[in-house]
Amino acid sequence: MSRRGHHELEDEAAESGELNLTPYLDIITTLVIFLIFTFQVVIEFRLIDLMPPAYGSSARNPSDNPDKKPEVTLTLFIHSQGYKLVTNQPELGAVEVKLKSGEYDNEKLTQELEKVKRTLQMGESLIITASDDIEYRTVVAAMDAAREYEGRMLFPDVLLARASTGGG
Amino acid sequence: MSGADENEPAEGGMETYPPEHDGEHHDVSPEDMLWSGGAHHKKKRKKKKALPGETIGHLNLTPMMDIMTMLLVFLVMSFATEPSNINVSLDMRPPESTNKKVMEAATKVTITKQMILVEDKEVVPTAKVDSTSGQVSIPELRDSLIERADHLKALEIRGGEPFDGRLLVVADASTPYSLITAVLVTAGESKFAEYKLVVMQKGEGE
Repeated sequence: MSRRGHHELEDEAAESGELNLTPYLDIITTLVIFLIFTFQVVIEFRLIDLMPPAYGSSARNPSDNPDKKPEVTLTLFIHSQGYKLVTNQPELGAVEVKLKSGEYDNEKLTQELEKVKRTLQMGESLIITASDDIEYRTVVAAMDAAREYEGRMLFPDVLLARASTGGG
Repeated sequence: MSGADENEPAEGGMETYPPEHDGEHHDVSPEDMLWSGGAHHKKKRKKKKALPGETIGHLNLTPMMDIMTMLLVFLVMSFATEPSNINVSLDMRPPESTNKKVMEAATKVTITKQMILVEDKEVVPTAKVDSTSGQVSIPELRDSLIERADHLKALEIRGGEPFDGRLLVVADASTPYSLITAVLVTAGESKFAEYKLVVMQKGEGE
């Protein structure tokens, strides 16, 4: 296009009140290129709070206050064959949730936890312990299963313990 | 105005919209006439189709501007989503969870398949930690966490944020439980007392 023709176009654009968007477009393009290069796949992360280990709980020394009933504790043990629920209440005994078609049955675990909580009128604390070779994803799945049942909170406060040391 | 008036054709000096194409009142150059063959309705087509070797004089940039602006807004919004920078890779992919608690900024311990890191600084290879044989504390990690805690406390004295002992544990989903507990025990020995497990929101990584 001739120089004259170009000027004519510019004049025409100015007369019609059209903005010259080219510098703005330059900036936007540069920004977009920079952001695309530094872009990472957006994954939303979430947090699961762990309870700090409790030392010297009232359950360990009931002689301090004989009228006070020992605190009910519920422990979920994860092993290669499934889940096992154990409480310090002798009347309940251990509850086993076996693997279902080779996978951990989280639905059954939630139902059993709800039953235990209802029976023993428990608080919201759960101790989780697992065999050494159990994968972290299995532990997190168990935490999810123990958190709520049909919109009601079950055991959102989780304490991780290690079976081999007996600590918590 | 009645409906009948609307349907009447414009007469005399009145202009109609769109203007009628009579081929007489338009300023058509001889070049245009040559290209369009003299018909006005073909002149419009000429604006869209340039001759070989001829540059396009005037582009409509508005649609492009729309796309670029939307792209820019999306990228800027996703740029500052997470308070803590966590890189997911084949080596380190946290498990998925239904928990809804949002991320917070805190000291970060990352357990990948190869390495244990404190704030993205390599501390000890994962293979070197034999947590299954009763080892419940990792000396290299303890030293690194104590150093980090001292650094945060020094910052607090100089007017920085107060040191609250919070620790984010970012671990690969296949990490054995013994290693997780070994890291937590070590953190407990290193002035950190509040632990949070970092997980991916369920359905995000599919």
